[in-house]
Amino acid sequence: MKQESQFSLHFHRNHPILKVIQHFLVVMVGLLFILPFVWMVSTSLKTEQDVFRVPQTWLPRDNKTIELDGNSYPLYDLTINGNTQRLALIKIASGKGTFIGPEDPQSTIVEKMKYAKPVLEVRFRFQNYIDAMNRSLRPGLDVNFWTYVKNSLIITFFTVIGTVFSCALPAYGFAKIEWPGRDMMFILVLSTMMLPFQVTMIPMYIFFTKVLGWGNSFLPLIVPTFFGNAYLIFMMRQFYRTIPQEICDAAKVDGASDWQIFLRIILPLTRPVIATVAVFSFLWTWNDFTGPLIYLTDPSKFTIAIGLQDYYSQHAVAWNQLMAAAVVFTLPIIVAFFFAQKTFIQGVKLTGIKE
Amino acid sequence: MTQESISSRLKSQKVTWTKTTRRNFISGISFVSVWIIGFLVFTVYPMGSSLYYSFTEYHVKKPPVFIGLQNYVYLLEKDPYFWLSLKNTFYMVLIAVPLTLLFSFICALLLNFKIKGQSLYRVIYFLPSIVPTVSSTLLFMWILNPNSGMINQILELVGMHSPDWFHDPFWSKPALMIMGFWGMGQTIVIYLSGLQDVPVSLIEAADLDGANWFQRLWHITIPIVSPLTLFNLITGVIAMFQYFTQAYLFASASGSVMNSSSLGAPLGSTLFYSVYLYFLGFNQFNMGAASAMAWILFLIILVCTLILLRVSKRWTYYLG
Repeated sequence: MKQESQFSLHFHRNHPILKVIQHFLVVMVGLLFILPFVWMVSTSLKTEQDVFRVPQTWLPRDNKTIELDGNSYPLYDLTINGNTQRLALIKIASGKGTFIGPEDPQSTIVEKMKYAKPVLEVRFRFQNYIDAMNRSLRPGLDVNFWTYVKNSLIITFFTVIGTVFSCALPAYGFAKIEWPGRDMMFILVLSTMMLPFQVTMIPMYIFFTKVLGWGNSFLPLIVPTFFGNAYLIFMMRQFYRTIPQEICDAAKVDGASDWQIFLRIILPLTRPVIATVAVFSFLWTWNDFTGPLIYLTDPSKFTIAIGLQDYYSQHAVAWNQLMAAAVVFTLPIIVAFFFAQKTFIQGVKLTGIKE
Repeated sequence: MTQESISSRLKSQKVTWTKTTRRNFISGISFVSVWIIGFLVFTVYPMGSSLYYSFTEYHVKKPPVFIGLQNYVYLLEKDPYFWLSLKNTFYMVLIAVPLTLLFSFICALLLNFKIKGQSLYRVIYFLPSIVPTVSSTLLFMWILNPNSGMINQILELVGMHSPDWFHDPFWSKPALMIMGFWGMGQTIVIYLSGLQDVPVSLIEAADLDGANWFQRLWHITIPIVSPLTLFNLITGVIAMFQYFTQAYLFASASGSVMNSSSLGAPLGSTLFYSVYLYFLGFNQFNMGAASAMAWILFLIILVCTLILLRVSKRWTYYLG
């Protein structure tokens, strides 16, 4: 090490103390990113009482119960005159509970509930997921979580197909064929990224609902995706340009047409890119809030992104069920991310694609 | 030379396109045609219509009636909500966007440390950004719950109490910002890619000259990633002007159904530009005024982008 480092506070980059500090910082900030996930999953596994119990805990808790005569009763710590007994609660009436001791089931104690403290144990309530999935979300309508998921899946399925098809073709046209006017047109593609969707939103709404009569159907959400997306065309073009031109030229010398080159060479070579585009379009469609909000009016047509609000009613929010639904709603996205992680990150870097 | 070949030559000179060029042109256009149709139908046509609607009185049921600049005049001179929504939006653009950039840069610096488990940490920092906006907003409504939320639990550990994020107009925007910081992973990734491109030779040279960590950061790293800062700034500003979903959900949590008396609850503090535009268009069905708002938004975004590009010349540096 150099002489002067001893005088200044100048650690070498691999100094062990520096490593410890670095690790500490990365982990602390990492906790900020990961704790909301933990809170989400933890809430989704809590009982309704546990959700609002003060103080809150990170692990879901529930009443410890005891089996008596084939029924299970919650256990309470009952404190009378400084004496604490662990008893089972069998009945509550007008603020008073009827307790029995597990050893002596015949003698009952009736005492005010405020002297009783529930005995809690860590327990995960997976039933929340089943309840959240099967519960009817609109009174009087046969609509539940699965209705929304089904609608989302239908829209997403067609959107992904449409996007991949309608972005791969122009991307090839912009990346691998030299034609007059190409660069001008590509600038046009890029400039549409600047346009806020609010500008086209209202005429599109009127066009789809009043002119074509597609209101309250999936078509206004699906059809436009079959006509290219500037971001993804740009991203695919960037990838296509990394494929050596010699490959295409050699094929051309052998008499292959552009369509043959595209189908036989480019597409097979760029499967990861296609996966990335598919993942992006899946992600956007699955998350899309504004589109379904504008076009879908009948709850039986809602996607899960707008339907999730149904768990959030003004008076009683079933937070545990809402979080369970949100976990199930989010999970496909996380899975899709890990499926195409590498190219996904590359796509973000190349184009800075944001939602 | 035969007559024929000369005439064909003259022809080709007029067009100046060789056979290959022509073939490539047809081929290129046919590959791009999908996009061209989409561009005409889903961009050019609606742009024209919305510009036209913005000069009309149009409530969907009856055909539009041309009224000149009245929508614009009304919005700019008589509509208090328009200015409120613009003010709220600028608040977010001026505070949330720079903070997001700052925090993202710090996170990228952390993720660039050569430590064990680096790739795992990168995934952890990035993951929240792909969580659906609806999920993350509802999650943060629960996390920020003043009584039982996670933030309150943490604040109580240090003897503080959580503010009422949903009913206090001062705290509603910071709540939305916290929500946003959680999902800033994509900005982090972009910064991180820039940090990885900082030439090692430069750092080593500065090291030899006795520059400390902060000097290296200030004089080398920050200038080198400045083009990315510009990029993140422009995309961040554009996205913030279109801020909608979070605010829409958040306002509904504070008890406002979309009606004019409780817009942008609490107390209009979350009435952002796009929320008001949506309200005018799809609640009031005042398509003329909503279109005018859309065009004003487009102009604001254009002007802001141009200003940023112009000013950026003073503080962005490009290697090589």
